[in-house]
Amino acid sequence: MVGEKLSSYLFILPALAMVVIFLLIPAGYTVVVSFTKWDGLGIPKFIGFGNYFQFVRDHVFLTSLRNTVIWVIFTLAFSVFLGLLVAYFVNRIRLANLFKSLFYIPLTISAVTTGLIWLWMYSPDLGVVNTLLRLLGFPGRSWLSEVPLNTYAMIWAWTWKTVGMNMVIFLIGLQTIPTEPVEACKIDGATEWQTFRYVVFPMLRTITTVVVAMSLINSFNIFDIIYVMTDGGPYRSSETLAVSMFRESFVLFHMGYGAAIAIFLSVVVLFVSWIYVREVTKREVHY
Amino acid sequence: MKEKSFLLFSAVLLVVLSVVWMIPIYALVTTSLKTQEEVALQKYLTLPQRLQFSNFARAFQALKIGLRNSFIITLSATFIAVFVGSLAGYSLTSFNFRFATLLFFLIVVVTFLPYHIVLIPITHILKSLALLNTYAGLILIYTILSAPMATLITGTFFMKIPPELEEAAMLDGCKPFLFYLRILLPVSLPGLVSATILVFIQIYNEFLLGIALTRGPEVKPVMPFLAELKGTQIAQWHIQMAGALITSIIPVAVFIFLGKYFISGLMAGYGKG
Repeated sequence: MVGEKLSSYLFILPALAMVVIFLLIPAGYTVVVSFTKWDGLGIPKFIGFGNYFQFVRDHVFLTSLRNTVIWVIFTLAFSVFLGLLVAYFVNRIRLANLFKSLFYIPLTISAVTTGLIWLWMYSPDLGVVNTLLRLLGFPGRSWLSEVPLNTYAMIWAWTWKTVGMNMVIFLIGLQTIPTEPVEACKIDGATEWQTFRYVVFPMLRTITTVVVAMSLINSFNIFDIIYVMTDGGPYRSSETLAVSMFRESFVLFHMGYGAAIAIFLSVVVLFVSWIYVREVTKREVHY
Repeated sequence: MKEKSFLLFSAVLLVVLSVVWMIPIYALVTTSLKTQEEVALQKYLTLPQRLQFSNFARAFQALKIGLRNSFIITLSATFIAVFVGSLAGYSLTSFNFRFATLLFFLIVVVTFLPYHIVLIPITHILKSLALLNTYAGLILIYTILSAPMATLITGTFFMKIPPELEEAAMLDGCKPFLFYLRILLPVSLPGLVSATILVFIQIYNEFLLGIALTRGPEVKPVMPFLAELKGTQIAQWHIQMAGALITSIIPVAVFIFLGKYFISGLMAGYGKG
C-alpha cells in the first residue's frame, strides 16, 4: 500500500512541478511586477497600488473594460442563445448530422483564421457583407472603424466560430433528458414553448451553467480575433482587457501597468471559475 | 398539427442559419481561387472564371517556414504534454475521492486562467535560460500550458476504468508504471486520442504566445505568419484566403476523420465526463 501511494505522488510530480515552476511562481511574480513602474529593462520602482489607482483615471482602460463587458454580455446573447436554439431544433429533426457539421467547421479553425475571414467579409469596399446589403438596397457601413459597431461586428465573427461549441454541449444535455415528461406534456396539450420553458429548460440547468461559464471565461480571455481584425483600433477604441494588457506590456513597455491589468483580469476569471466549480460540484453531491 | 408546424418552423430556421453560416466559408473558398481583378469586381457571389491554384502556391511560399515551425513545436509539445498529463491523470485516480476532486478542480481553474498572467515572467524566464526565440522554449511553454488539459481529459477517461483491473494487476505483481504503460494506456486509447487531438489543435491554433515569445521568423509558428499576411500583402484578399484555407486544412481534417474523439474530449475537458 505504501509503495502504491508513493508512486501516485511520483506520477503527479512532473505535472505538478511544471505547473508550480512555470505557472504559480510566475503568477506571483506578475503580482509583484504589478506593484512597480518598470520598462522591462531598468530597475523596477515600487509604487504600491499606483497602477491599480491609475485604472480609474485611464480612459483607455475604462473603454477597454466597457468593451470587455460588452463582449461578455453579447457573446451570451448571441452565441449561447443561438447554440441552445440550434441544439434544440437539431435534436428534433432528420438530417441532424448535416446541420451539426456545418456549425462544427468554424469551431475547429483558429481564431486568427476566423479573424481573417471576417476581415474580408466586413471589408468596406469589396466585402461580402456590404455587397449583400447594397444588393438589398441598404447602404454599406464601415464595420470595423465605427465605434462601437466594430466591437459588435467582431462579436458576431466570434459567434460564428463558437456557436458549434455551445450547440455540442447543449445537445449532450438534451440527449440525457428522459423522454417521458416531454411526452406527458404533449399529451396534456402543452405548447412547444410551454414544454420547453417548464420541462426541458429546467432539466438543462447544469449544462446551461457549464455553457454560460465557459462562454464568460472565453470572452474575458479573447485576444486573437481582435488583434487580427482591428488591432484594438481605431485609436484603441475596440480593445478589451486582454488586448490592452498585451499592448501596455509588449508594445509600450509599461510592464507594471500591463501586469496590473493581467492581475485584474485573472481575478475576475478566477471569480467566475469559482462560481462555476461550485455549481458543478453541487450537482455531483445531489445525484 | 402543432407538432408539424413546429417541425416546419425548425427546418426553415435551421436552413436560414445554415446559409448564414456557410456564406463565410463560400466566400473563403471562392475568393482563394480568384484573380485579384475578379476580387476587385465585387462579384463575390459568382464563381471564379478559372481556378487560380497559383494563389495557394504563393500563400504556401509565405507560410512554409511557419508551417514547418508549427509542426515541430506542436507535435513535440503535444506528445510531452499528453505523456506527462496522462501520468498525472493516472495518479489522480488513485488518490482518495475528496483529494482527487480538489486537485481536479484546481486543474480546471488553471486551464481557465488567461495566459496573460504568466506572459511577462515567462518571457523573462526564457530569456535568462537563453530559450527565448528557440524551439525548446516554445515547446516547454506549450507543454506546460497544455499539460493540465491533458491531465483533465485522460483523468476523466481513467476514472471510468474499474479499480478491480488495477487491483488484479497489482496482485499479479505488476508495478504501477508498467500497469500505466501496458494496461491503462491501451485500455483507454480513446481518451488518449481525445486528449491528443484537443491539445494538438489548441497548440496549433494558438497565437498570443507565438507572437510574444518569438523575435523574427526563424521559430515563429504559423498563426502569426498568417496574421502577418494581412500586413505584407495589402488587400490581396485572394492570397490571404488561400493562406487561411491552407492553415485550416489540418484542424478541419482532424475534425472530419476524428470528430468523435474531438467531441468526447471537449466534454471531458469541461467537467462533464
